[in-house]
Amino acid sequence: MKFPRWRQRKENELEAEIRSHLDEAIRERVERGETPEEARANALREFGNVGLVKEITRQMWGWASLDRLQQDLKFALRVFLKKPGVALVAVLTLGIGVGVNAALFTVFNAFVLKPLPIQDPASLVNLTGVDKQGEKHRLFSYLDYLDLRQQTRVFSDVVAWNKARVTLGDAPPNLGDGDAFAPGYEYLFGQIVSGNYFSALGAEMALGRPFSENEDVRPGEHPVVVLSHSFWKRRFKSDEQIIGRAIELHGFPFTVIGVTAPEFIGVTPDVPSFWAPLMMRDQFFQAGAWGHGRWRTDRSTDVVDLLGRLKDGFTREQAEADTKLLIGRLAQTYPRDGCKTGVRLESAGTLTTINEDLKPVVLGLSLCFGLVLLIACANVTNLLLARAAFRRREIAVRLALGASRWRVVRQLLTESLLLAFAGGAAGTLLADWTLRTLYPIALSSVPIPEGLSEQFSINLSLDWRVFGFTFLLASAAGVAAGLVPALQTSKPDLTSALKDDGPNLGRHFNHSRLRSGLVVLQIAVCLTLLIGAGLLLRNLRRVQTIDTGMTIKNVFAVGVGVSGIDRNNLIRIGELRKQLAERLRAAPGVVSLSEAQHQPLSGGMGGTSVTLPGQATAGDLREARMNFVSADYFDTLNIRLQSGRFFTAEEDRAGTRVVVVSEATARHYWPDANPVGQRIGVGAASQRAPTASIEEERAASAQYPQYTVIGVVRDARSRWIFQKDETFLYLPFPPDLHWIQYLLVRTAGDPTSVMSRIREMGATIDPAVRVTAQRLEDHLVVQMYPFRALSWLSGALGMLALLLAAGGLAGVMSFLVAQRVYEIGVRVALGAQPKDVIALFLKQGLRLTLLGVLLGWLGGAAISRMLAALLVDITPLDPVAFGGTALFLFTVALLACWIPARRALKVDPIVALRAE
Amino acid sequence: MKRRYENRVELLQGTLDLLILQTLQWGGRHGYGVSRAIRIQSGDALQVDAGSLYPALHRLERKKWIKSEWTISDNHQRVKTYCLTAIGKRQLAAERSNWEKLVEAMASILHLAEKESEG
Repeated sequence: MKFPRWRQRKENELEAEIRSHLDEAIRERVERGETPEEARANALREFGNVGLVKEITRQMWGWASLDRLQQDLKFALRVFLKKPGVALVAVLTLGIGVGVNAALFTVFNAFVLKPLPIQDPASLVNLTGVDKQGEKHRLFSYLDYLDLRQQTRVFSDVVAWNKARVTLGDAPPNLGDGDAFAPGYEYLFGQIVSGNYFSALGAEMALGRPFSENEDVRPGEHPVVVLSHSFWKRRFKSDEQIIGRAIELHGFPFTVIGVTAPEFIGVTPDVPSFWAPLMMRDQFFQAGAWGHGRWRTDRSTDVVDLLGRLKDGFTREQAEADTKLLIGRLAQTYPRDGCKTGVRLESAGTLTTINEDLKPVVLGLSLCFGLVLLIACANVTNLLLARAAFRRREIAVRLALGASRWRVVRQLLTESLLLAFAGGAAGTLLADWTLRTLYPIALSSVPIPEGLSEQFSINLSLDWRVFGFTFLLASAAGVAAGLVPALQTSKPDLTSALKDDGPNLGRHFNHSRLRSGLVVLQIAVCLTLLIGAGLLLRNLRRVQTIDTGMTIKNVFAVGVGVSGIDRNNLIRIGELRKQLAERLRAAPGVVSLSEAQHQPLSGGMGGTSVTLPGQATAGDLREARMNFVSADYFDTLNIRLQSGRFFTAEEDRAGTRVVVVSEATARHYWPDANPVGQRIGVGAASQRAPTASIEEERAASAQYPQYTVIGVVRDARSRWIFQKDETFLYLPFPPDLHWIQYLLVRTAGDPTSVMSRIREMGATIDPAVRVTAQRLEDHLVVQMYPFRALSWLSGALGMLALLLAAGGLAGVMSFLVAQRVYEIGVRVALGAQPKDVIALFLKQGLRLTLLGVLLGWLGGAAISRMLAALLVDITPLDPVAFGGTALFLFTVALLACWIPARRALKVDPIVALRAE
Repeated sequence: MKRRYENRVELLQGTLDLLILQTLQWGGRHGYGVSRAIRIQSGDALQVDAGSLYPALHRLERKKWIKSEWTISDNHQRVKTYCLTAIGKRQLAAERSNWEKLVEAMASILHLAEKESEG
């Protein structure tokens, strides 16, 4: 036994003290006339048991519990080494249970708990505007930013930033609503930031200098750029000579003035490639892009995210209240439609904060992951109970020799805690390994542009928070798994435990109700998780096969742009698009071609205010979704007509005020009348700039062009796969109005060959023509990703739960078989057939499974309620998900019972009976 | 075995503590000295065995009522000598008055019992 040094000293002193005591006693006795031998013997007798005196004196030092812990640990280790198999299974089981939770926590930690590597992260907050309806708006206008920064009393600094997607080199052709990537261009994802960004965040530079406030005053004046360390390393091979060099961003020369230190990653999970002054916005967001030219002067053009640095002594709540007043004042001074009237401050010191939207997600996830741990704990409890049944004699002997019950419980708990800590360690390693392996796979599976995924930097390294969490979780798991077996086993029922010598007929069944209960619980929890996974899988299948109301197979969208001077010449682009359309129409395989302002299912879609004459008071505005389309649009996408007619090619661009609406729109606006022939005022067709306030828009609505409904088409999902359009207007293109718009092409078969020739087709029209082509089905991949990811995650979790629960069931069954060897021997001796013996165990196992399934259905009903919001066209109590998973579980349970039950057949009656 | 000693320590605890503090009142003593003082001063009526004495000494030391140091005894031996601390002195006074009250109370009850049996 090794003591720490201070302990050893104390021990030596005690030794010396007792020796001096004996010496004194002997001397006194010798002085009284005893011989030295007598004196020594008498003194020792008088003193008593030296070892015992030492032992109880030591207890006074207050380390007794430490000593006992050491004994317990040593004993526990011996127990495990004797039966390493049991220990290994328990450690692995707990490792999986703790590991999945540790992995979840590591991700949570990376996003929510780890402070960002910036100066004083705790006092940095994110501002989110809130309007009268309670809608949140992340972006603020530049003018609001200036006012906030100037008038605030609670922030020492306010920083404005926004993401900017630009090309390295030439500016790309204008291809659409900003989402398309022009082929042949290298896109960078950077940020435009106010001049105080670097000083406020305390960013260090590896090379050069950051830009300052003075370089962010007048638009376009200081084309300077700071590169991020990772981008500089990746793209410029860590070239130290980069400072002072010019690089072309979006067709505009910028001077590189600095490279950030490697630690500095900004405030977003995707580390920007570069930072440029906010005043360079128009160089990046060029003509036609949101806010171009007017963002500095228009208060309703929201373009920047805001970060605030709290002044010393102000709490977030105080700052929020004060900023709310300020925003309220601004809203009164400059009233406008949908303007912000309040503000929310959230900590920006970490990548994310848990707000009300995220809370249910986090809780739901932790619950599901926690359930896996629960199953693992139940497994280990069962394992310990089984082992305890074989250790009853040992424990009874210890109790009989005077060990207190608490002492025995503590010994057994030490054992289970030891298992749990080993499991926790294994789980931490497992979590770390899994995350390391899965992170790149998960990242590459996310449908985001390649350049962007390279920039993601989520720090999933383990830190003290993860270790602390795992330690606590493992402790809890150890106690949870070990407490019941410890209390059960240490029940002072000495006589029966001491008397019987081993497993026997009909005995030892006192634990079995508890153990059966645990198995039922495991199966129930497992089924709950499986039902969740089943629902999400069904949901994915459903989304994959959903009827969008149109045919998008073999349809692709073509964006046409021009590089060079005519980049923003919409008339020229329109001409070129027309030429390309003609060539495409003549191309072999193309069966239908049409034009649309927005491509369906890309998420973006037009919206407009509409008025319904005669139905509501004048000036009553409604919102509707819409798209400008050519007459062939319905043919290309195979949208079925329900009544009335489509518009014709002659009505296209002819100024005819006719509109085709969806069925839902018709029901919505004219529930009791025939929609065909009704009139509707459409704001988007009025060809004016957007008005600044809702009052102005109301006033203008009297002049909305009046359209006549000529046809009703089937409902579709034009924007999102999971959302039927509530309203949808299909309008013919107005004449003499030029936008960026798309060609939609349907081919008879696979469109790949046509798509591959399309660039060359464009080039033969004009070398400056730039073309993108994208299948509409590709949009679905993006839209379905969350569904797919969810079903992967839940499926993996469900399978893990199933594995653990099946293992638990098999464990209990094999224990029962082992305990009933004698009984089986008797049965076989009396003429029982193999199938009778197997049936005996199968019946028992399946009864437990059935009970578990019934309970699991209840759990499934609860979990399906939680998932209801995610389900598309599936009732939460989907019979396929509930029935299918239960059937699946039954099959696995059957297997888990059958394998150990088969062992019962190998029982030789003679051996079994003689064993007693 | 262990249990027997523990019980006895518990039984004597309050009294033994008082006795130890009392013997240390006029200066430091080592463990054997304390047990000898108790034995002699009680006229051999009280014999404190080592299994009670040392745990008590170490416990009192941990409570900071007494402190210990290694000194050289009259017999030129290195011994661990215990003496009272300021807390210990206060404690001794308190324990003594407690004890006297207890004795008084016991006596009056026993005396009453005597009277009753007489009457």
